[in-house]
Amino acid sequence: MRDSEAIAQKYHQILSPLSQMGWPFLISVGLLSIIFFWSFFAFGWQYYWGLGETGMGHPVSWAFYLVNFVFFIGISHAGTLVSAILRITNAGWRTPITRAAEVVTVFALAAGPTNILFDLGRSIKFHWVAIHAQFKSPLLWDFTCIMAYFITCVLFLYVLMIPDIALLRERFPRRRWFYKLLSLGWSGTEKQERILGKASTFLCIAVIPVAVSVHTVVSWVFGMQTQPMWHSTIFGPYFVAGAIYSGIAAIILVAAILRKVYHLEAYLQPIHFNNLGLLLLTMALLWFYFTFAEYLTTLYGGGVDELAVFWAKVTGKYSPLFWLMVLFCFIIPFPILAVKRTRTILGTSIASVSVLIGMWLERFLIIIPTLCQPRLPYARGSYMPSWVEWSMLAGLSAGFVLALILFTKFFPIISIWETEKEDHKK
Amino acid sequence: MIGAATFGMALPDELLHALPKEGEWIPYEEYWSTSVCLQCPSGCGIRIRSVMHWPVKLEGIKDYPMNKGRLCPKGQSGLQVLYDPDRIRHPLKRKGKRGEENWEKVSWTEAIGLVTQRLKTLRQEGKPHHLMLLGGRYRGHMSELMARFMEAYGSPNHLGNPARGSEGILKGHLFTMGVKDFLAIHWEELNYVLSFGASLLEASRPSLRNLWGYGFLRRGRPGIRGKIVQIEPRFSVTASKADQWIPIQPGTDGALALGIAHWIIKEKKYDRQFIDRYTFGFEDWKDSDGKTHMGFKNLVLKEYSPRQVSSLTGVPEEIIVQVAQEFSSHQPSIAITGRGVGMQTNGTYSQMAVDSLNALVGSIDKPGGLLFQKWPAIQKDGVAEKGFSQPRMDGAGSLLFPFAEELPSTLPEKIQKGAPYPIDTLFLYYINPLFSLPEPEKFRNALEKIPFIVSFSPFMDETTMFSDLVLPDGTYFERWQDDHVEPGLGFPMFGLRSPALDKPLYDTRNTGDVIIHIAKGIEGNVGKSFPWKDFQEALKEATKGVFASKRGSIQARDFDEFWNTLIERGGWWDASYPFGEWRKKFNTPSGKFEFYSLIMERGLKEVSKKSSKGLDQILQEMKMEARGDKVFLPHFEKPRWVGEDKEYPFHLIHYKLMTTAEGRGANQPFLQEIFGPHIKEKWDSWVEINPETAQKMGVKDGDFVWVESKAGKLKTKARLFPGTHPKCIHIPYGQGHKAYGRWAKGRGINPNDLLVREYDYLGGFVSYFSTRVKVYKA
Amino acid sequence: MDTKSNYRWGMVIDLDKCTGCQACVVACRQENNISFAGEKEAKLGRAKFWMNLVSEVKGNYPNVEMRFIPIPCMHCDHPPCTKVCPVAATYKNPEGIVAQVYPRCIGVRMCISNCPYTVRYFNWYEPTWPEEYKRGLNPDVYRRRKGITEKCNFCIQRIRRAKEDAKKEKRRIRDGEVAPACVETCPSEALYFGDLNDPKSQVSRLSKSRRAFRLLEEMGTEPKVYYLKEGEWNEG
Repeated sequence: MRDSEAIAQKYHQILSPLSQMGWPFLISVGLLSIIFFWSFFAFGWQYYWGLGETGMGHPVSWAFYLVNFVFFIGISHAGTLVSAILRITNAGWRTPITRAAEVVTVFALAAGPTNILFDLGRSIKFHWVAIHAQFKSPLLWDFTCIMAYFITCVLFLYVLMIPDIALLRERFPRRRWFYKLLSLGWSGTEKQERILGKASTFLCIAVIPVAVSVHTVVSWVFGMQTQPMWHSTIFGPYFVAGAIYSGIAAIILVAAILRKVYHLEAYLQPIHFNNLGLLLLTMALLWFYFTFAEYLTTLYGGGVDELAVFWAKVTGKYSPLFWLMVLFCFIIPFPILAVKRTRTILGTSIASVSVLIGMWLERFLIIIPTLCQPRLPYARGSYMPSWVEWSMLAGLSAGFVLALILFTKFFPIISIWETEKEDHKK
Repeated sequence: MIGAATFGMALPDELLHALPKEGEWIPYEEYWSTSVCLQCPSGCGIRIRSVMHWPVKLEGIKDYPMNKGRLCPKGQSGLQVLYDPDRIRHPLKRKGKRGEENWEKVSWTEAIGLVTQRLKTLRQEGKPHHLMLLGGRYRGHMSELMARFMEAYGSPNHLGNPARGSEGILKGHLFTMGVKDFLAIHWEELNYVLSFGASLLEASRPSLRNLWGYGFLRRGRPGIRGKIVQIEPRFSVTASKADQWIPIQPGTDGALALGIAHWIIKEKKYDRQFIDRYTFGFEDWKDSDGKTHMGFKNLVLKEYSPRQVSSLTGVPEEIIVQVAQEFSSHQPSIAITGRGVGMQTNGTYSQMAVDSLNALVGSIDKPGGLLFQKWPAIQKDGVAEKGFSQPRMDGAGSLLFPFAEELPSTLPEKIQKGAPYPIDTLFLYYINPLFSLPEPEKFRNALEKIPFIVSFSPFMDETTMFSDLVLPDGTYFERWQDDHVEPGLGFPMFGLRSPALDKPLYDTRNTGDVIIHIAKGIEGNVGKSFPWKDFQEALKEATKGVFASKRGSIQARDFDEFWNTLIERGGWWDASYPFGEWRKKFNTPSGKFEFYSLIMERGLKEVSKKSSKGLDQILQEMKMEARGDKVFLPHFEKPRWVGEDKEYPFHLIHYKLMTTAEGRGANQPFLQEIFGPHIKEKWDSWVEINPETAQKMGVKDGDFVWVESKAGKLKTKARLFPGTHPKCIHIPYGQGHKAYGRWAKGRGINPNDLLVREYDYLGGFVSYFSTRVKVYKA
Repeated sequence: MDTKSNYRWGMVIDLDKCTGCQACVVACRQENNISFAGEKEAKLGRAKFWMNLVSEVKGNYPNVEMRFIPIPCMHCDHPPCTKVCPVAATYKNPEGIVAQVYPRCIGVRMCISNCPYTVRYFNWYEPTWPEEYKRGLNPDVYRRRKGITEKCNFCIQRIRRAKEDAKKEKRRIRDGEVAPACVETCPSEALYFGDLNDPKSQVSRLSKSRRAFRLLEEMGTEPKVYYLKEGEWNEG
């Protein structure tokens, strides 16, 4: 290992969170834990009494949990996708954000499918999906792809963290056993470097189709169904685009916050946010294109059932949410991102927050209005989430953020060895 | 028969402890028994499937003529009566004050002893007439038994009515045809139904017969699809399935019928043969004193042309002519009515007018027409000694109500005043006056004047809550009882209820047995009038007459075989109906259908003689407008309303749904959950308002409104229903209980609370539809 | 008589005879141990009506129209619900009935959302009956727990029983011998049930009537519940 002392000294800013534990950290962890554990209670309540404690009913049998599921899996996309694509294209500026992106991916991917567990009528028999699998069902495709993606992402994150873990092994004698275990005996030899290079290239290439497939099959859980405005051929690409969109927004937000909290100004510079902002802008346009195509097609040639849902969204009961979504997903971010002057760290952060809210609303609006207006109008209904569902959403988000924070306490949030490599190249 | 049960989840207690493991199969014992349903007056035969001695399902008896093996939703929901968790499980005696629901359990011996003692004392004091029995719609032999008891005991105060709520129809039939029953519809050959608000598909009687009849009318005969025209202010389920709905101004159906008659008579489309041979009073006629009386023909031709009638009823002239054309040309055709026509202040005359339509087309007692109900030859040996020295309390048969047989609604004031004499003991059987009578508050105040109230109800309903002693009856699955089914077939039949359980579910007893027990305890001639051991024996005695007639569906060598077959088949019927026996069936002085009602004339003349008042004065006191010959002919009396038009702009139409079950369905969750299908309401009450009227009042669908009449006001949910006449509002029956059980209590409103007592004095009944209301936002 | 070829169970509902009385709804609930939802749940729309009576009111006074349609499970020949179940808890059996394996269901509810007729129901809470009602439960029908999806299955317990009886006598089930609870109780005889593979059965003949139609035929689900249109008086 090269002079770990020197490197640690050079990157002390990145490593400082691992050794310090200030009041802000304790307070935020405390609050988040409370919310997180509250959701355990809510889930226990729901498990004991039944799913009737949520606001779902007939015909809206899928609601918040599915929305959160799609949303979190959406966020999980950009991380590895951005990281993988940027690696393959050798975009140098990517280095400070890859680790954070990969972490966001992994944790979002862990958070997403747990929503399904919450949503099941008999959660404890969840494993039957594996034992009694019927592969005709899109949910099985979901299950398979998400498992594959999860494994791939974890591997991706882990493999590319090994050199840093080795560094930590040297620097943190008290946790040495932990890092020693994880570092797999890395010592920076050439042979190891080559294996690492090959593995990371392989994973980079592998993760892209898996990532695309994941959100495509998630979209097909809806797209393959007969419900009006779900049975649409555009769902696959639409969801993938939306996923990348929300994912990049998540990364920007996480990076901006990390930069502020851990004082990483030296590493996360405006140029990064500018570039990420450009990516976000591209996705915004792509999102707008897909959405516009989807709605125009429905309006122009739509059948009675589809139009009922359409009008419910555009002018009816759900129109306030719909137009809010358009506001947050496009009208606010687009000008901010399009003009170079506003494409600053603050600007892109605001745009990201807006995008995240907007994309959550978009998931909501894909699922709920359609279920409210089934093909046979006698079964029309409405939906109002209950405290259980809000608690689960809050708890899950809190858990996600908590996991992120705890990660930064054990591993460097910026890839040190890659930054070092980049430095050497220059 | 051995069957299989999966998972053992539905077994009774004994086997529940030996729960099989998932996937294990265990045998169970199953058998079928028969009974007669009691959810509505129809009396359909039911087969009860029992598993391990617990009834689990009800089906119809396949060859039972009334329901042909089918059941309506109330019938199917019957097990929720048997298994009702709020049933009274043993005799109760009141502790504390009335209405506090503070009861103590007593034994049957003690309870019966209390009653017997009191009745004995009353009799010894020479006050047997201070006993009053309020009975509901008696089933079968119970009416005989109760009448026998009251007569032997010596009290004239027996109010039990098989048709409460539809007396107008019965009185109309009485005056024109001399019969005291409803008429049966011969669906099998019918082609055209002119329905004046008859609720064929919702709450008719007999329910199953009419539902089946509707299906048969439409698709039972290849190539023939009968027509139904529904005339009523409300767009009911029947109106929606009818071929034509004619909205009409409430209370004017009699005029419409006469308008139709006008066209038929003018165009000479009536059945001349029937009119000439079997009717009286069609043409002008001379009586024995040489006086000329106006005939029906001239009255109608003079006063009820379609144009005159059209403005009165709100029905366009061309529709009246169209209906008249169709009615007289599509034979066989019948004209029938419902509660809405009969229960007005002019109900009797309206019914007479509709009956005239049937006479005009000659559809009485003919195939495809209206038939007279024959009754089985139930044995009635010598009635017990009468002991009536005192007149009835309710004033039935008196000056103002000469033709009434019973008048429960006059009781509150009379009991309060104690005039003409106070009531000491009150028996309540199969009745809940604090729920079903109008102005129930007044009745409750009256109850406080009665020292001893005994209820035989199986449920803690509103009136039973106010009683002193409860001797709970069982449900219809737990007792022996017969049921003379509602007029619907014409030919005679009756059903038999046999217990489906080895012994009653709780410590309850058949009221028939209890009455016999009480009678025996009183001794004297009362005891002698009840020589049977229990009600089952009394039933057997009574059915001996049917056995002796050697007719009908059960042919047996001896009575025991007859009785056992009767239990197996669930009933007896003699399915041969002799059509065309008019001279035998019209029970009038002239022996014919009377357009000019001699029964009414004689009755009124007798009242005039007894009271030494002139006929005209009597008519004035009975608030009738007509004078002279018109009084005895079907004519249009203007309906009287309670509440002026300006202050109370809406007519209150209260209707029964298929799920109402005579007001007893409120504690059956299956019925509550499907309560109002046409308006998608469950577990609740509502008031239907015309959408435009509602808009003018600023009321939106689902808003809460107050409905106020002169009797009181109630708050409920408003629903906008386009099938509502702009001057009417509709409230369904069945909800608004203040007791009765956990699902019934405190739910919705009871329209009876809004009704003010106005009367059709001639017919002698409360006109339920006279109350007007106002509606405003809450 | 060919005792080997399969039955293909179907139902015909004559809307001209249906009076909207809901006897079918209650009979079904009593037969199949369907718990009532109670006021709060019913108003949230969670009441389970395997046979549901649907009403529609149209028009303005006095030109008002009201229609009633009983809607059971359509038992489609191409059911959209069976292919989306991840644990194969619902399947189409060889006799055409879309049957369910209740213990297998884990409550994913994709079948509910993929049914275009919305005739599947979920147990949002543990179905409860008052203690006294439990004696009246039908032992032939599985008592579902919370978290399980359920729907009409043409009273398959009755069909099985009829098949046992017929097998004992070495014959096929006769037309009209087996009837689900709804068909057996309909007061106006508006429901018919039988074998669509038997050209002489009543449902076979009626399903070919000029008045016959099915719901959402354009979806290609091939439902086996046929409706007969209401008639007009002038048609005779």
